[in-house]
Amino acid sequence: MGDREIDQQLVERAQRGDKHAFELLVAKYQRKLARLLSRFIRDAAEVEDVSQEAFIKAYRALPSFRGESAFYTWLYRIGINTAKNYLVAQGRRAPTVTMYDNEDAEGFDDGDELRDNNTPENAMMSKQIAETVNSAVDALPEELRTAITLREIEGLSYEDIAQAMNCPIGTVRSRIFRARDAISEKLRPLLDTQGDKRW
Amino acid sequence: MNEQISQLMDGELDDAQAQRFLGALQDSGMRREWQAYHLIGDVLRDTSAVSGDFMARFSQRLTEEPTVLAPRRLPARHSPRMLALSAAASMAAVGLVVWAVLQTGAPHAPAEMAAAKTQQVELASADVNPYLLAHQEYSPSVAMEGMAPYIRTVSEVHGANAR
Repeated sequence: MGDREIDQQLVERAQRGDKHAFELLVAKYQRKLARLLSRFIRDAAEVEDVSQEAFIKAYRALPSFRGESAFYTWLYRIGINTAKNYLVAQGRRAPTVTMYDNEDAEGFDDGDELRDNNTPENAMMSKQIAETVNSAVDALPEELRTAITLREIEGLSYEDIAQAMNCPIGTVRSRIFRARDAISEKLRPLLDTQGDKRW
Repeated sequence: MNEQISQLMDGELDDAQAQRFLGALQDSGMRREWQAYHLIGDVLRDTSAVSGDFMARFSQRLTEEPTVLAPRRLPARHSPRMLALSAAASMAAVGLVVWAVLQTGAPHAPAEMAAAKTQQVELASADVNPYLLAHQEYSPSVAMEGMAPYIRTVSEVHGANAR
């Protein structure tokens, strides 16, 4: 089942009243949406607030989502509109650049404005998370590090990774999982202190 | 189970497995792993700029939201009446084509066959030949059969001259 189909399944579950299914979508896309909104809104705390608002609007609008477009494309439009409305309400100039109205949301090129304008607390946390992940990756055995890198950075399928690493697909599956599990283990204390254990 | 989360987010579970496993993601521990695995990917792609308590804040807001219940979409179904109507229309169309073919005969019959047919007609209906010849041009088959009626006319004229 591909990425879009997984999203569609989660949407349908949410449409049937499963709020946890929608939380899984939020967990998946929160950073991508924030990255998009940071193009319009300079302050990181405001970006988070607008992201939260956009996700709530998306949740309320779920009955109207029919799956004609990918979930993220739909969310992207809601995010843009939420950001525009927010800026107008604040008496600030809403973005007029039409490139953000492009339906090709998947092709959105991320920027680094958010990192540059982070609040000290968020910047510290982002830095800690990034350092933890990167040091955990560095500590992985080479075959696990290669597998997770090919998957997450290069975006290769398991089949392609199996060919690249000259091993069976089952081995690739196991290596990627073990890599994620090891990194997640290192991240857990950080995430738990941030309160995300509550959801 | 966490290995299946890893496979699911990579799109490596088949439809049936994914359907079953999505239902299992009700467990809060598994949802945290889902979040952590996505966070790892975003960090590796250098796109992790959101504060750590985003999900906790969002979950609190979502709890306060009325639960969405969208009506399920029904799969497209064809009513028996529509099926019967379309079948009847198809039958009528086929019947019309068959009738038209039978009325007009073979569109490109060889001249020999047409001549032989004319001969048989001549033998069977010699008494009405003058009448048929006189009204040849009013025959409804003239327009449809091409050369055949003229072949018959020529045959009749030749026959009359021979007599």
